[in-house]
Amino acid sequence: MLLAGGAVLAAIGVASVVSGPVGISPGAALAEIADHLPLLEVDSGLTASEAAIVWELRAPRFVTAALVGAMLAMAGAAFQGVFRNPLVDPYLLGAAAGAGLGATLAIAYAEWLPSVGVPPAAFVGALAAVGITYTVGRLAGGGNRAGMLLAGVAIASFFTAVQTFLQQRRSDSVRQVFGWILGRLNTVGWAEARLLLPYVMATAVVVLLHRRQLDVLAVGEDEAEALGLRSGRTRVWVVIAASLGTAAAVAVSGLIGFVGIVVPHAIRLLAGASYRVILPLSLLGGAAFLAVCDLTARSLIQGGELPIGVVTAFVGAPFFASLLARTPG
Amino acid sequence: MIRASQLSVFYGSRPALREVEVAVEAGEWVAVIGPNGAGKSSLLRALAGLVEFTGEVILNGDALRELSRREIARRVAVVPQNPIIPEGMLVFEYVLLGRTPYIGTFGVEGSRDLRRVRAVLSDLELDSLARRPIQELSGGERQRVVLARALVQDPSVLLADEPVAALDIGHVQGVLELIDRLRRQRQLAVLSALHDLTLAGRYADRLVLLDGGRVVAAGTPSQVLTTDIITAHYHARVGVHQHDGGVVVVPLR
Repeated sequence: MLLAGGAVLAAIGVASVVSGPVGISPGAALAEIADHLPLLEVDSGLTASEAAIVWELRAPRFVTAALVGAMLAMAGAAFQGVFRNPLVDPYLLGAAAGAGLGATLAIAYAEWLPSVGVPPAAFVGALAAVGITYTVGRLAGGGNRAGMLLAGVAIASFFTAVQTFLQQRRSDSVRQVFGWILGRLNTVGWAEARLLLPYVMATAVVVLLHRRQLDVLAVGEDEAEALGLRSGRTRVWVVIAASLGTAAAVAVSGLIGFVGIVVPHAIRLLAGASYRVILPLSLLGGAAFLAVCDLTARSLIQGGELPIGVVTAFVGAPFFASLLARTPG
Repeated sequence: MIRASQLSVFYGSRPALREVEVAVEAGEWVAVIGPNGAGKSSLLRALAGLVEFTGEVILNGDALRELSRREIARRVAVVPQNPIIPEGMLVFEYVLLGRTPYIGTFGVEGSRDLRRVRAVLSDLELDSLARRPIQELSGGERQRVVLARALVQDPSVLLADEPVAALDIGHVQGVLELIDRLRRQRQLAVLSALHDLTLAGRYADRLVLLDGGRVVAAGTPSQVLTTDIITAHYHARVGVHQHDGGVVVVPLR
């Protein structure tokens, strides 16, 4: 299954690199990419500007979309496991909005901060948002799944409002932050991919290490404790890792919704309920899903581009609605 | 095997359990009875180390509060009153969760763990259900699966909170007979909360009656299940009869 997923992802990668206003053959694109790999010397036969389109625009964009998608999907699966709530994802928990606010603060008010400082600021915002959502949701509904969701909606709206306010006050840096509400991938290059990579690795490693523990947590905190799991510790680590992944994704791409809902649930339907399967496949599935959404976002309108968040919401919102209808209280 | 002395549990400032003394030996079955809110669940939770308590609990010679969560889970298995059944989880996966205290923090199960699960599944005649999602099972089957999860912990103490609460009489008998066979075969110390007094008297060696968090009566079924004691603590009108070597409690009207 992992192998098949990898093959699909590679195929989407090729499609991403060859699609666009400037037509480039798959063979030439692959040759151009191979030329940039260490120890390889390949002549793709592309002109300098075609080569730049492949290597400087489309390839990093595909890689970044894949990394962001992988992070959002895995964070979604991880949050669902930790909170034993199939309806949460980084977006609905407010984590993404918190990360957005953190990143906006860093960009607008700490100009001395180099761009590597943005993800940590986003991380602080994401953790704060998840913490508040969790607390409010617990106070509101106890074990009620909808309570947490509503708390998340409230927190997300509030954080987004503050973020928008800050944006307007600092209109000079607005351009840099603008477009976040709907997500954007149109300006990314290798720098963003490089910025993202360590966070993706750290998040993936920590979350995957806890995959079996998340299965134990599925029987609830109390029973998990009785089975010998120190459930508080598991939850803290997984929440930290998932928030970190969310923050890094948001810092690069803005607020892209529904990836963390659609992908893990599609995998649940195909491959079962165990997090040992869901988590690694969410990484791959998220990467493939967002890369396809990005491809759609930039191919759908002739000569223009949709914000990617529009595409994910178009697919994700109906999916979420059907999930909502099938999930008991 | 497990012994509690001066055991008290407080929820905030409200006492749920006050200076309880209880002991269960290997192979023995003790039933905790008492009216609703008497502290039966609190007692079981305290003995599993799941709530803060004062006093002392000794488990196979060690103080419970000195043991790690993992160490407790290797010795004490809990059958909860309303087990949470994760959606989509298969019977085999669910029973495997019982091996958690034997699997390293970030590890996965080994062949020994899988062997234990298979052995218990076949002992409880659950082989044919192993690949089924648990939520598809009937109440009686589900309760046997929860029991199987407890058994693969290889515990010496089994704490069961109302293990037959929602079952019909046939399945009640099936589950209680199973617990009875297992405690004899495995020398399990069984402590179970049971609200049905006749059943408690039928299956347990000894009864402990809780009321208001205190032990108000303890002893063999015929010592505890008397008209006077039941009337005083349940505010019920009952007749107590001897039948087939056991005690039968019948409500009067």
